[in-house]
Amino acid sequence: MNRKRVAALVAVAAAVGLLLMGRPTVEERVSARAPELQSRLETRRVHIHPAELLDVINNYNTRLRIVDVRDESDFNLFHILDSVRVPWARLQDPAWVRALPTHTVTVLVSNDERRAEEAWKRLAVQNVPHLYVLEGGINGWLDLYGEAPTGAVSSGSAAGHAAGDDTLRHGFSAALGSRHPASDPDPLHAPRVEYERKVKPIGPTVRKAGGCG
Amino acid sequence: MTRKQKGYMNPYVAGGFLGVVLFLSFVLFGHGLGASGGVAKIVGVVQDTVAPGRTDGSAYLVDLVRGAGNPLDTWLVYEILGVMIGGFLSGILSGRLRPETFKGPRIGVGTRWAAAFAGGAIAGFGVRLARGCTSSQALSGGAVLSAGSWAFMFSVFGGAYLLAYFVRRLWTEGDAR
Amino acid sequence: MMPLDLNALVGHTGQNLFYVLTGIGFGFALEQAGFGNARNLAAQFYLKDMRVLKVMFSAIVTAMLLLYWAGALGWVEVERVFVNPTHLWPGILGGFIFGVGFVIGGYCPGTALVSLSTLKLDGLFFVLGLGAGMFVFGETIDGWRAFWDRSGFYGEVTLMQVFGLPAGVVVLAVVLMALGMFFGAEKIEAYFARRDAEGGRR
Repeated sequence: MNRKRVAALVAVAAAVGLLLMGRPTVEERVSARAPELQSRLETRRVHIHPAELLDVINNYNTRLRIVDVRDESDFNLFHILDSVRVPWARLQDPAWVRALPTHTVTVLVSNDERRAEEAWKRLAVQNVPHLYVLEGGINGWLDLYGEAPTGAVSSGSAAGHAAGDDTLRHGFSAALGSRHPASDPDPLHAPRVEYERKVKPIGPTVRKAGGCG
Repeated sequence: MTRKQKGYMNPYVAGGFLGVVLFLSFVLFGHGLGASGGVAKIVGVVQDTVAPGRTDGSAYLVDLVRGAGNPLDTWLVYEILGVMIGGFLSGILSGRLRPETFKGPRIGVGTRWAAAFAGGAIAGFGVRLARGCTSSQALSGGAVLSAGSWAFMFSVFGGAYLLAYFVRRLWTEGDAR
Repeated sequence: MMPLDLNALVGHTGQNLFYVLTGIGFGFALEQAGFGNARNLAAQFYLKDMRVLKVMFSAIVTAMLLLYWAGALGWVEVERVFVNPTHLWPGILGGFIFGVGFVIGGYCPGTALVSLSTLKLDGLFFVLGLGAGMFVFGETIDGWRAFWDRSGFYGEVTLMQVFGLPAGVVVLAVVLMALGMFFGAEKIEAYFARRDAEGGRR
């Protein structure tokens, strides 16, 4: 009986201890997995070229969600048509993450890449699948599809913005949001650029291994 | 009914050991244990071997045995192989390895075999419907606090306790109460 | 960070070896607990030997505490551990049916395999029965597939989400419930043991 009492007390103590410690937050999980996440980002396998994003946008077979993680002011100046602005805190709201539609490609955008990459980490630790970052960000998008610079853009410039400080480099005379012509570039007249295809096709439901079902 | 079995491990200790195995499964594989799924795969493969035409017409069987690769090359099959090896080893070590039939005192061996088969058939249907058995749903799903697994667990106990009175002749000594 | 990607670490064959080893531990524990013997399993439902409840809930509590503690210490990503999706009504109906089969046949799939491995004939018949039952399921399911797939389907739902409680609270509640059940089980066993002893003396 004595050993049983001890075991019972240990179990209760362990449970109470868990209760007091609380579960790791998204931030803590991101820190715990920082090296692994960073190396995944460094392979650039989740960074997609703006031309690829445009193709995905215009591909009616792929469900797409563009998540813009910039400040509201930048978003109001210009954003890609049909992109959604999400305040930073939402990324760590498990209810919001759980409610994300399945079988959907999610592309995170910021002005350059830094904020989008940080958002990517937070969603990656919450197992959001089909998750990508817009290479070169909005700055790169506007370099390619905006009016002022000509279409003579090398694909290298997108990567050049990766190290940018995430401020919007392009100027706007008015806040056009998604009414700006570059929000919805005409694929027939947009500059054709070669890119490395990175978005993986979404297969039928991939059941995680486990359970006898 | 037996009181205390000599040679059996203390149930709490056995449960603790089982819990450690389950925990190791979680961290090694990212999922828990399983048993019925392995049996289901084997049944499906036998069906497919005997009557492949029927498999073509069954969405359920196609899912089960016509996926990528060999359907027997799945973790469930390897695991139940291990379960049998483990049971065998424990049987040897504890001197419980011998052919026999366990049954209640009021029935004969033939009745017991029929009941075992019938019970197995009912259970086989039930575990496929529930997508799991005590190992995968109750133990594994229970430990990760899956809502469906806990509902399953209570249903299993419910079904068994409700029927127990009616099939008591299979298990109990005299004194129908 | 665990769970591991075993396939990447030790290859497909290595991973399968680990599965076999895990099964060995599993089967060994079950046989050691006496679950290769249908009488021990059925006894649970006649209240004289509550071994099934003790083993099952000791295992659940142990694994749960180890997992969540490993998560709290940052060793395991608990969110990446498989959570059985909730198909509520097929689960409840199937569980009930399975429970009926359990008390008639005296085994569950795992314990039947253990019984078979120790050469028990009733275990063999149960496993053969399992095959028959699964066959019948396969033959009949296409007719009511919608029920099986969609009835009460909520995806991967935890008790935390159902009750809106943090994991720590749910874990504590499960521990307390298990301890309560153990206490109750021992009382019930003691009652029947006393009653049997007195019945014998008369």
